[in-house]
Amino acid sequence: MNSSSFRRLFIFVVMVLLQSFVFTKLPLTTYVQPCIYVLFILLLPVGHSRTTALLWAFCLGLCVDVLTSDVIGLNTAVTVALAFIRPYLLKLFLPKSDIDAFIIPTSKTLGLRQFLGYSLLSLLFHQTLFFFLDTFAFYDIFHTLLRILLSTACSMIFLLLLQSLFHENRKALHT
Amino acid sequence: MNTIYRLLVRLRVMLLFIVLEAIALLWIVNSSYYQHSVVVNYVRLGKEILDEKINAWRYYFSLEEINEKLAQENNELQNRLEYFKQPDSLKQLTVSDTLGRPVYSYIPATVASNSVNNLHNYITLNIGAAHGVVPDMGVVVHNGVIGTVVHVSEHYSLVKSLLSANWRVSAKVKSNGTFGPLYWNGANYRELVLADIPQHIPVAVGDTIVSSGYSAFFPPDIPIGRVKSIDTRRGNFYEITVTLFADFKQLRYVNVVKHLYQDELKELASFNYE
Repeated sequence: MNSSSFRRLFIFVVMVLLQSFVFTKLPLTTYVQPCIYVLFILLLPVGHSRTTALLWAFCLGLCVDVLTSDVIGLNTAVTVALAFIRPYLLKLFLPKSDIDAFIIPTSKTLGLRQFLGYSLLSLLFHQTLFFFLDTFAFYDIFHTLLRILLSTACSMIFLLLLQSLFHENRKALHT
Repeated sequence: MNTIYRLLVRLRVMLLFIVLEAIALLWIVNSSYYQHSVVVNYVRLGKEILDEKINAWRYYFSLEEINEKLAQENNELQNRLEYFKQPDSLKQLTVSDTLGRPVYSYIPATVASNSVNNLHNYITLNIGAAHGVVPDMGVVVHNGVIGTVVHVSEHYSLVKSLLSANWRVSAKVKSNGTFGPLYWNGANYRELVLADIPQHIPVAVGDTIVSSGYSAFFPPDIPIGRVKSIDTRRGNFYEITVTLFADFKQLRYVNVVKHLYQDELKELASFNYE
């Protein structure tokens, strides 16, 4: 196991633990449910193999499901879908010139504006799917939309903070 | 053959995506309380133990509030005891059973893990089959109905919280005894909705809502909450918003209700008219 896949595994474990023991335990309402484990998917290298990305997403979703959710498969389905469309989202925000496939998309490497756009779109996609699958037409759409917006906003703040943390870590490792 | 193989290689991402999504969606469709709780049993036990530790710390910091609540409950029980102690025997005591036998008994339990932030919330109790808990028992506190046991393991039990969207409990208006289903609409964890109360029934803001006792899960007349607002938007019925007495976020000590004649009731209900 080389150092980059070891670090990936480390982020994976940290994300699962943070999500299930800290962020789902926060005393908030049903309208604000911070979801930070998607950061793992967002932080995969730019040129990462799409098949392994899907498998990682599947494992990630399943772990989060088993530890936090009442419905096994909910986070799994949503996270796999995110991993599937991630390359297309990422393409919108990458510079036109050739870039190194091993680059990890953070606010330092992409630029803050690009990273914001990339992660906000991804989160919005993830949360929309999540809440519609979770409520599944039982409740009026207004409440669902409110949940999506508030949760996305809340998750976004935590994501920004957490990604800078991993960024700093990486720098320290390499120098 | 070669072309098919090349096609497969080209579409492998798409195929893998479809397969993984199919598996996940199948899981969603197939998951029910039962499967969920089996997973809890085998996979989550370690998590429950960890949760219990974390909760133990959290409760340590809210001990003051818990003490206050216990004192209140004590006080209330004391008052009730005084009522029974009265030498004056003109007042007839009401006992739930005409033969004077108790119908319900309570098993005390402590909450090991709890949630109020999801649309379907579950509570784990630190007692299980070893303590005589079986599925379908009700869970109450002195000022509220909490939920129903859906699955038990040897030392833990999983309770479906009243804060589960689409799950109904029978409740009645204390002043006149009209009953209807009480459920959570997923918006605010302090408020439930009481539906199906006909509009000719007088209900006022501030009225007390109690459990009806029409199911064997919960004893009758447990106070649940107070009427907060009354809506008439559904046809001939009121839709009443009820503020709960019990704070689900601060649950610590609960009682599991054991109906002593549940088997008898079930047998009667499944009686076969020939």
